[in-house]
Amino acid sequence: MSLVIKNLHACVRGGQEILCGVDLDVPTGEVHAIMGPNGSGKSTLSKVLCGHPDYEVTAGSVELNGQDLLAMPPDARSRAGLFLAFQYPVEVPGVSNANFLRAALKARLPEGEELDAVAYYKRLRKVMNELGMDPKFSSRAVNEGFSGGEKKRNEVLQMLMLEPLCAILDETDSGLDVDALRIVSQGVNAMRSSFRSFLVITHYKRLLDYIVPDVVHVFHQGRIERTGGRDLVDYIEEHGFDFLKKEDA
Amino acid sequence: MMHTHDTNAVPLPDRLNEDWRFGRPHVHARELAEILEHAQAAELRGVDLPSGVQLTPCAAEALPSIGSEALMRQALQIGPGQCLRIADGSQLREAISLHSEVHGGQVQQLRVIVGAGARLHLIEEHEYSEESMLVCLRRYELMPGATLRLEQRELGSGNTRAFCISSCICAENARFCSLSTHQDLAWARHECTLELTAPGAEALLLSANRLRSEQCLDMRNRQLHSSPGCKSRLLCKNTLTDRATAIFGGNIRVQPHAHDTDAYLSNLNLQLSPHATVHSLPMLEILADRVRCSHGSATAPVDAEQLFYLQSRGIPLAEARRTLEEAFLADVRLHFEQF
Repeated sequence: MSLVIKNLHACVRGGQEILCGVDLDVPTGEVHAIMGPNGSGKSTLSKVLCGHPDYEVTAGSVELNGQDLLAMPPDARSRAGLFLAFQYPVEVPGVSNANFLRAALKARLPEGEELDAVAYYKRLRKVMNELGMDPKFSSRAVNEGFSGGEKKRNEVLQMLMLEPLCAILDETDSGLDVDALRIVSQGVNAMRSSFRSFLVITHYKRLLDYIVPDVVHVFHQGRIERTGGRDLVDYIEEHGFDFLKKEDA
Repeated sequence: MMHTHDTNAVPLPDRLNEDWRFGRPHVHARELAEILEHAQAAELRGVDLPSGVQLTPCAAEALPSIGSEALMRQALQIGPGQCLRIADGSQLREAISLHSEVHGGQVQQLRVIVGAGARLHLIEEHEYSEESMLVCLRRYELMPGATLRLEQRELGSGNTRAFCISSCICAENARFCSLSTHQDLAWARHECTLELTAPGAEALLLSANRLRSEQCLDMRNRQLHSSPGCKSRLLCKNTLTDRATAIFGGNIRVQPHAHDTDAYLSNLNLQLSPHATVHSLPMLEILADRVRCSHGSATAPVDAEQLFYLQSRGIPLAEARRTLEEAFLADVRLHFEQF
């Protein structure tokens, strides 16, 4: 059981092709990192997997635990177990964090079944405390007026509350200071288990020092160009992505 | 009391008739006066008014007025109104509610005086019966250091109409926040003039309205900065479905000597139907140097990125859309609560 992507092609709706044949298998229990230069298509991959309406899949398949993700609307993909921690989380004025998460959890319940409000708030406070978040953030509108770091922390809060089977972290480390990075990473590591997989998109080694990946992929020109182990991170840290250009030449 | 067909014949302002914009309602006021000649005064009822609060009859001539309000008052020859007076220093913990039912064609005038250093949360509610219409003149005077949080609720029903003219004058360090809502009125026009007359005065004007079917809401606002060192904010939000129409005219005027003014106005509309119409006219008149003034206006459908964000958390499309529509207006309420 895993996230399986085969020959995935996608373009901006009515525009340029950005994903040009992505093949990727992330077995449950593993953490895979995707690194790559700016504009290589890493964030597009994450959005396409979640069903962002700006993109159109032109070929290929994506399965999560045997379910055809591409046949589902974005909300069904989430309920099937997929989660994306956004690079740039949007602000949603007028919807409190607590109500937002409650609605998301309620959507996962069978029709007619109600969420235990007491247990929910107790758990929300506990997870917020673990992430070092002020309890007042639960009553604040989703991401409104949050700093960059607070938004990223809020994404991880949502991930911990929704307990997905496969989580994609899209540059979660950007905007986080060293202490916040450590706390957030602890939260992610606490979720690592034999029935859950992670796809961690990042530019920097420092996140992967905390969330140690099992496999590292290098993304370039809309596809996975190279796959390796932890040593590939060290190589990129030292040499950058120039080796991709040399290979192109 | 007037008959139904009379209220429908009242010559009310419309978007294409510039005589009504910012202070020339007298052109039509005489016609209005003739039709409303026999209209009854709508009486506000206050429930369990606490000590330090008086609701008394108030002679028309005792009601000072400015601009279009004065012209309208003169033309209509409106009789006695009511005056709500809050004693200096009164700190009222509970909100005061004034409720009135509107039948046929009615007029109402209210003067509210919040004494120096006093604090008041006032809720004014008009409940309209079918085919009714209200012409309403309201004036709020905040003495130095006073705070007034005001909710104006117009609760319509079918073919009901409202024409409300409000003015508010804030003295030194006075703080004023209003939240107006219009619900199920076929037609409503709301003119509001705010004047900040002394340093430290601050105001937040809010409005949140859900418009549907053929309803039309016409909001005209003016933020007049007559003194240096004052702050005003205006946020007017509407959601529109079906063939509803929203009209917004907003004007910040900074008088020549009113330096260090800090003012902003914003009109935001969520257009949920291709047949709904929005006319938005935000304006600035800045006659002083050293000010911070700006305005904004946006009309758009539900934000696609917000919608995707909610869906990405498992919330079904229809519920996500409904949540965002409600949140759009709930946000205004939040601003009021935080004032």
